[in-house]
Amino acid sequence: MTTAIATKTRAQEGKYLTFALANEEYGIEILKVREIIGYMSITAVPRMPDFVKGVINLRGQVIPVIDLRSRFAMECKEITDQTCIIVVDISHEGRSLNVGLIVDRVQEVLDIDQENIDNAPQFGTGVDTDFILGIGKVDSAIKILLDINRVLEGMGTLMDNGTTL
Amino acid sequence: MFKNLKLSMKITLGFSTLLVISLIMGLFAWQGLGTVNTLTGLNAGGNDCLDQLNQCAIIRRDFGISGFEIAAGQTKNSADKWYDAHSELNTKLQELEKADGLQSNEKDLVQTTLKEMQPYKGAFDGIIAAAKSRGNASTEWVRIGNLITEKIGNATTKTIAPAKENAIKNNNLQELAAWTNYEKELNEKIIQNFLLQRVMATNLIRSLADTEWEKYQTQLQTTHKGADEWTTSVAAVFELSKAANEINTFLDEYETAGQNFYAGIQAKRTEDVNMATYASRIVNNINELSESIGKHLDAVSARTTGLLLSLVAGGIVIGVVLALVITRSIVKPVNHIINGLTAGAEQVASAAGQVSAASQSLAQGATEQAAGLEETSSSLEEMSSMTKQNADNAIQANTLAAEAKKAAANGSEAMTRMDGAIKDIQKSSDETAKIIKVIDEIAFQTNLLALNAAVEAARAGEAGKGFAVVAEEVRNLAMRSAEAAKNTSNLIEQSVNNSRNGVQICGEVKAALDEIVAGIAKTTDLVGEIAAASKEQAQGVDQINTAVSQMDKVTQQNAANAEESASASEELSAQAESMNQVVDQLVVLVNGINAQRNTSTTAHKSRKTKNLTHLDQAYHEIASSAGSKKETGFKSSKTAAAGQLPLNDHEFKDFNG
Repeated sequence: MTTAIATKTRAQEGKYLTFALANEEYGIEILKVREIIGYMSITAVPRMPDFVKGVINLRGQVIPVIDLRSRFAMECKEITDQTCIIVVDISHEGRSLNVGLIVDRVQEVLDIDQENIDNAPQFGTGVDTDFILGIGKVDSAIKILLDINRVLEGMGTLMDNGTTL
Repeated sequence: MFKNLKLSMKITLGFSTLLVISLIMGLFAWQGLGTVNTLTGLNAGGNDCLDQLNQCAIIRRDFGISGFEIAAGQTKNSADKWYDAHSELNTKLQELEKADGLQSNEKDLVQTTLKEMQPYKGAFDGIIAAAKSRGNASTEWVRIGNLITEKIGNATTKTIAPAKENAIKNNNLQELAAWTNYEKELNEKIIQNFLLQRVMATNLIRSLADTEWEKYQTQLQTTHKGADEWTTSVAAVFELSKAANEINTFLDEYETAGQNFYAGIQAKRTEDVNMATYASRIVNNINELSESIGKHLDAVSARTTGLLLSLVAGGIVIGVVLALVITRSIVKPVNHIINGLTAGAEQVASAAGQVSAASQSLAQGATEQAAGLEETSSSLEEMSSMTKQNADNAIQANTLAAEAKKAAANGSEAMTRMDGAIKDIQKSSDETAKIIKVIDEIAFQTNLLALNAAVEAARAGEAGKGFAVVAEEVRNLAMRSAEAAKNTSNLIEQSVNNSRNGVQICGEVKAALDEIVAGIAKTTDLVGEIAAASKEQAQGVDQINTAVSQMDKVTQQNAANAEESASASEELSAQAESMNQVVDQLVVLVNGINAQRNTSTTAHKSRKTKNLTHLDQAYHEIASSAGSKKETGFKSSKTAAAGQLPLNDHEFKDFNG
């Protein structure tokens, strides 16, 4: 957790869990990952933003689930047997909470060296790329390394407004 | 109106008019004849009466001759006959009185006659009475005459003869001479005179004439004188004197009887005169009646004759008028008909020419047709064999089709079984796919587990490094398992797809086979029908063959017929000629010989032209019928025919009435 805060602006070498959304592959720091589960039925919660699909009951713990496609303004896709939910830890004002991310499929756990990690590209002042830690290069493919806290920014507030987390 | 009547009606009307006239004439004649008949009957009745009166006269004359004697073979004497005849005459006169048709004067005449009948009968009664008294007188006369004769005989035989014998016996010649003298005087003075007297009487009876009566009277005086003389001479002899007295007495009686007889004669004469008077009155009456009837008869017959003559004249006039009208009304249309018949005969003649030409071409055509028929016959025979072969082939095809049908059915069944088998395969493939899916899921879960393990290992840091390797390996295995499952799944999916294709194809094949089966069934039916049809065709061809042979015969016959028809057409032409002659005869019949000349010359003219163009024209027409002139020629001939037939429908209707 300390490392995650320390490497806020720049991705560090280490293990990343890679997954796919549409044709693009993304990576999440492995220490942020809590668990990987197969897709299960989600209980919808009223008055939630679009990208919040609802909640699931994971071994007695109620976890909110977010559709990453919706979050990234991508087209929604049917649920397949490859669809998985990645449960991640996010920290918000010193509290950590678990959130489920719906992804198309889970790839693997990769070890990426420092030299194979580039900074996030700068497109201009108007374009926010803060939620990208960097770009991982594995062989000829590119893995977008995500800062999951940034991706889920505002979730904590949301959580505060919620009943229990 | 008369014009529109039927021919038979016209003639009937004419004759019935004449008949009516004849009937009227007959009625008048009948009536006149009836009157004449009645009058003749009356006249005959009068004549009968006259005859009967004549009969009465004849019978009266018979009575005068034979008296009351019944003639041989008769049952009645003349008097009874006369009464019968008189009563008959009376009956006839009464009938005549009662008869119809007598005029009043005639009736009066008959009644007068009837009145005369009673005195007429009375006169005859007088005659009968006179005859009876005459008869009685005559009988008396004869009896007395006989008595006298007997007395004379007695005197001779009983007195004179014995005296003479006695004188002869005694030889007293003187006495003998005296008796002989007595005998001689008796003989001279009495016997001769009396015999003469009786002869006179007989003459008187026979003749009843006055001259005989006078002779008789003269003789009677002589006889009386002789008797007186003999009486004087024999006064000496007692016996003879007695006899002489008796004889004198009888002679007086004899004279009385003679006078009675004469009285009867005179009475008869009176009655005869009366009878003649009445008879002549009757005869006159009847003659007057006959004359009157005859006049009447003459008047009636003259009237009837005049009526009949006028009726005959009227009948002749009406008959002549009717005959003229009817003849006119018959002759006019008959003339039309004659014209039409003449034209028709000419047309028939030309038509006969055409028929002849047509018959020749027909004969030629028949010959060609016969040749064509022979070709047809040979080709028909080929066709027949081919048809038979067709039929055999069709039967073979039929059996083959049946086999093919069976084979196709077998194939269809096999396809059904194969379908089941493929479905089984599909089912087992599905089950395998399910298993593979389970394996895939297991692999997925294993992958997830491996990833989670990797995550846990990463959290463990240095201590979890080995575990991370194991997790990696497990993940690799899971990945391989998933890959293998995926491959297998692909393979199975492919296999399932293939089997699905197989099922589909199998179904298609089955459908195709079913179609083949159905098609083969149809084919079999069709082939069967073809076989049957071929058989029938073969029979038909046979029949056609026979028909063609018959046709051949018929064609030959046709050729013969055509020739016959040609000759017949010539005969027809001759018939047309004879028809012309018949028409001529008809013309003669209708119009007389003068008219016949005109029509016959025209007929001959037309016939000559016809003979010239007889065949040529026919050929010309046949030739020109192919050309463009056909229509105009036909039209012209039609109009010409119309021109030649002056008898139109209206006139024909007129003729029919």
